[in-house]
Amino acid sequence: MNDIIIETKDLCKYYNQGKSNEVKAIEKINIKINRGDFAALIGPSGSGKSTLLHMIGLLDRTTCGKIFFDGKDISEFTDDELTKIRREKVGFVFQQFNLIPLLTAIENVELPMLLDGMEKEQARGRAEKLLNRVGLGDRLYNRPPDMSGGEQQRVAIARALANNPEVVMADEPTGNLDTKTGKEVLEVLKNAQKKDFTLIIITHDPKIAIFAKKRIELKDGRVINGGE
Amino acid sequence: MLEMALRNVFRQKTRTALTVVGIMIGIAAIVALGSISEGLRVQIAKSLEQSSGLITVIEKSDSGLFMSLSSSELSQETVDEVMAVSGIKDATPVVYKVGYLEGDSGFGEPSLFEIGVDPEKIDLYTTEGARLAEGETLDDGDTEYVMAGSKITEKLDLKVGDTVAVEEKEFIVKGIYEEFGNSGLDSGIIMPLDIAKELFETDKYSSIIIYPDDINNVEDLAKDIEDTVDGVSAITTAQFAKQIGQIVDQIGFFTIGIAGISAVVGGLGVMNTMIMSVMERRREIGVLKAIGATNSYVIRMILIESTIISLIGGLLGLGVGYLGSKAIGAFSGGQAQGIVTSNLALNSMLFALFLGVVGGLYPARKASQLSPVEALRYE
Repeated sequence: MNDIIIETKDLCKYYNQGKSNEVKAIEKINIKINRGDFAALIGPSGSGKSTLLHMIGLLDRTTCGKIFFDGKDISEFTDDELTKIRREKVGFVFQQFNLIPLLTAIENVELPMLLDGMEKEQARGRAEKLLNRVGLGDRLYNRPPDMSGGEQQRVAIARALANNPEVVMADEPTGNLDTKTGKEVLEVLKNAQKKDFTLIIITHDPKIAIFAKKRIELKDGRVINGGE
Repeated sequence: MLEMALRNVFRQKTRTALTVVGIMIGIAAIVALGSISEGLRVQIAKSLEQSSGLITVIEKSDSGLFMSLSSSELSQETVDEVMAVSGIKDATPVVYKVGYLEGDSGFGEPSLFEIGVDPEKIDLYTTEGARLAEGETLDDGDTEYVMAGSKITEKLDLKVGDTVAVEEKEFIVKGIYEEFGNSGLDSGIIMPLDIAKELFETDKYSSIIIYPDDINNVEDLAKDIEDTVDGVSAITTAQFAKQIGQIVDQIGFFTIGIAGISAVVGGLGVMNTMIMSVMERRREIGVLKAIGATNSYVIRMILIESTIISLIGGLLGLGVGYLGSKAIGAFSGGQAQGIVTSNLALNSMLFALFLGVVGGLYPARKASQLSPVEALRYE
């Protein structure tokens, strides 16, 4: 087993490469995140936090440099191979919740398991357990539009945990919530994290960052603190 | 996935309904027109069954079988020459004219055939299966009498002894035939040959009906006649069937082709709807991919949705097409009876399915190519 779950080597991402409006979103990023870490990505808007999270979350392709996920260089992986790793090893929590509005809470949580080939009944049972764990045992059959922001985000956390991921990545999970709800949601995440996965969180909130074991600070697309 | 696809399809009810109607119209047109041409085929096949073993000799012409049949003119010499060919058991020249009844729709087959045959040979002409429903057969010298087919009898409400006007001359109905299943005979008024020639003001014949010595030598005899006598075509029932079949096929092909175009337009509607639906759901599709849906999963999802739309349209189209074919039948007074065969139903459903798949392919590919990050960008 590799102690380092995510490592980047001179990672960069440029948009509109070679054109006059080229944007260097991140450049020469070298970070290491250990298995089981609670890492916070901090920095002002536009500093490249989200871009970095998307890259190490295998949602986007690199422009240059390398990413090692669980010891493997994933730069040559096909889309479907990346999808498989995301499905099995990564859970996402987004600022905008991003639940499927057509599906009920429990169906949203089941979805990653069904995509991974789990039997419907088993997935349902596990989804129910996860929703209970995030305190939504009585809201299983509600649809996202009928739920509050805090509730939706808790469904999203349950969904992120569905396939027992190695890493949960959260992009400002409390950014769209009021202070009190945000705190509750964070508690849920932290409690879940006590189990056994790596948590990487983007945040503006210094109070959240303080909980983190590791703080990686970005500015203008570069790591200025805490990369190694 | 199927359940999710169904929910997605019915998310935008009006748009889906309109798309479904687009497919429905096309498929309904295919089913209705296809059933009519199928009906025509069956009707013709039934007519031809009645006259197996016969050869029809007409004037040779380049303008196709049906033009020739209606315009064929054979002189007395030609008739004599043909009848002298060996291998003929019995033969009779015939004159025809297509007549019209008052109130004809002009749709479908003509409602009256005026036929002149030698009374002695009338059984040859009507084939040996002819049975009288009422009255007696024409005899030599029955200049004032005619025979009537079942359809025309019904239409004009005739009884034996009634008078009927043909070309402004009044005749007395001497006998009425039972149904032949041959529309020409069933709609026919048969009169003595000489009277018909006089009435139609012609000394030419339309055709010669020939019965061969040996029923197995029909094709050979037909060939002999064509080789021996200049300027005639000897057509056997099998050839008839083949030529008519070709024409019916052409008609069917043409009409279904037109209907097919409208169905293709419906297919474009499906594509348009699916493209819009994918654009609206960029974010959702991005989320799906982020949490582990492969490209092929996304493609399948969109294809299932487009197929659901097209199959619903197809099924409704089948129903509407069936009713439409019945309606055309009723409107034409029973002359154009549509038959919806299981083959036609199956093929139209397959076509609907095909349209759904093809209409969904492009949007599905588009959707699968969305990068999860692109799709997740804030709207």
